[in-house]
Amino acid sequence: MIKRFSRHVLHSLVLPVSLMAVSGESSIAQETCYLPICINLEFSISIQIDISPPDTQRQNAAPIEPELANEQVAPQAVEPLTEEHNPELGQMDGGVPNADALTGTEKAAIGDILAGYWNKGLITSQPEYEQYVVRVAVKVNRFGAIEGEVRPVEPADPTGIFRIAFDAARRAIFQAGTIPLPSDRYPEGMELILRFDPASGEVGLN
Amino acid sequence: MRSLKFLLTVLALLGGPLMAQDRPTLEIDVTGGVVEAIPVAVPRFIAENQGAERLASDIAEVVVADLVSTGLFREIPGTAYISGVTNFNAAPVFADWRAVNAQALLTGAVSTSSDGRLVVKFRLFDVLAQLPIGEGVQYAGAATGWRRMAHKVADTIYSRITGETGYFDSRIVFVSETGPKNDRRRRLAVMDYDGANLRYLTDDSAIVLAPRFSPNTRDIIYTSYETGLPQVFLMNLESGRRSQLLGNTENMSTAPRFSPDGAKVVMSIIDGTNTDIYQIDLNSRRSTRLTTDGGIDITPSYSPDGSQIVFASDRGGSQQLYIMSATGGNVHRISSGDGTYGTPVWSPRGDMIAFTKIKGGKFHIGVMRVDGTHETLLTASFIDEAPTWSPNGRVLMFFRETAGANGAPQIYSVDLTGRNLRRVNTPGFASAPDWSGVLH
Repeated sequence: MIKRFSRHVLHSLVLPVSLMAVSGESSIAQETCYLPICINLEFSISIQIDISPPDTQRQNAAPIEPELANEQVAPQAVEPLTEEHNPELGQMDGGVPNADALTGTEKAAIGDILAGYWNKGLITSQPEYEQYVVRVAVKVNRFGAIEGEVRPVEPADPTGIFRIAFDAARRAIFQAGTIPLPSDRYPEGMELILRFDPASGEVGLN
Repeated sequence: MRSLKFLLTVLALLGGPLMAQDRPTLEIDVTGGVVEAIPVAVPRFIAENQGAERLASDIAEVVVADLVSTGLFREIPGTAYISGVTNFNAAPVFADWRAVNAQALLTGAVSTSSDGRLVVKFRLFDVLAQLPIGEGVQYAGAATGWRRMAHKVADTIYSRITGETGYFDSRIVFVSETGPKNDRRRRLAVMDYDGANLRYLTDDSAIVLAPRFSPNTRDIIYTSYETGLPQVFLMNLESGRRSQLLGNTENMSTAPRFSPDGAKVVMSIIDGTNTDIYQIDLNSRRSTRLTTDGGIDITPSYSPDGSQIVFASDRGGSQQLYIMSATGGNVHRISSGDGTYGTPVWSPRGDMIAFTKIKGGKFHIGVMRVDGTHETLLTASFIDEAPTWSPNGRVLMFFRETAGANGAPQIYSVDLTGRNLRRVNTPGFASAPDWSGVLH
């Protein structure tokens, strides 16, 4: 890493700073004289845009395990449900259930927790911000602890302000840390698709 | 052996998606949310050699000040830090930064050399995702330019987190005012966007008004009374050379503004009793009259693509905002609310127009879309006037004058939400600011 950095420094060139984006290396050399005072504004800038994170950082960059993930919470014994008991449970033929077994209240509780961490200031200050709706996916284990990365669903490859909206959603999820799932009903955990709509709901000003 | 590797690869590729599907899925709407500043930790930059300590500290301070001034970020105070950063190449201990509620972490290092060179490098991290935000960046140059380097660092951080271009490496030209209200002395001055590096451009022997930057950020245009009448002058900031735009004339000219390509100037010329808008070609100095109405047409401003001009006119009975083609014609009114409007300025984004509005005995700085809809008033005061856009079209500066015999103007900034109103630091009274583009 250090060697790589030094090589870039050695190869720095003096170029106009306006070339920065193209060349990655640039400088300013500017004599400026203002009436009635002459001022030397000369300085140069070189820029390298390849300081890769150190390897150690990548190794240490595993997501933080929410506290609940380490708790040895014994699963509760659960009486098997039947479609008669709860027709919203989904398919019972071995396919993937769609998890509609959560009640509206339970869903709202999850949404409320995430909303408390969802800072949408960077989005709502944009013109026509209503368009920046993002859907993201995240896996949680039976205790609601987040597993792995938050990935964009829609747009699948967010750019521009959609990327800012995705980043805000991701920050909200990581800050929440744990999603309150009924662990007895989802021993294998769950994949949550979360839809963040900046135009909806009341906004808290902190 | 190769077959086994192939089989394992296929299984791995298939296994991932299959295993991912064995969990139930649930879609949930997240509504509401909060609006708050993003907490950022900026531990003091590392001084990589003796003699760089002061600059390492100063640069980090400027970066923090830039970010906090936007209202979009707040600084986690250093006293709260659990761990510091002592090695620029060491991985951050994310848990420590998360524990102090930092969401973004900026680490930096500064080195100086005996020939006056300075190197500033930094990395930005998303603490919650435990990932770098973009790649590390390094700036190198003369140590005398350390403030600009700090602004460049802040611009990069701002851009990566907000998705918008930064505006910290920019300047303000304005009218500096001294003396009592009934004998105010005015001269032109230029400073960094944050008030640093103030320099005076003229003396106070003649009244000066409404300086405007050229798109190249090296020239300005302004109105001066040094001939006895208001006339438009050009000044090159590098050479200090000045010239009168239209030579000696009996006509008064005011409120000039450059075209986006810097090749033309549009302004008002008072010809007898009529005030109309003219376009001046800077090469030939030939003027073209753009309005012919009997009303007073003033304060023109080009659209970013140079195809249209917004201006104020009282042709309809009260002063309102109008848009016309940059060659004249196709005039249509865009303001429709109560009150009167003035000093319109087209956003560099092209989507909005900032203006001064007088309504109910108060002055307001406001914005509207270019079709006149979505009018939003951002400020209210005794006098708020003369908005100018930041290079990214996200912030406005203007001047606010207080009432009374001792009333005096000061420059303020406000963002498009109207929530982040701040006074810009100037050594004395200040009015008529104009914001440059990002410096080259």
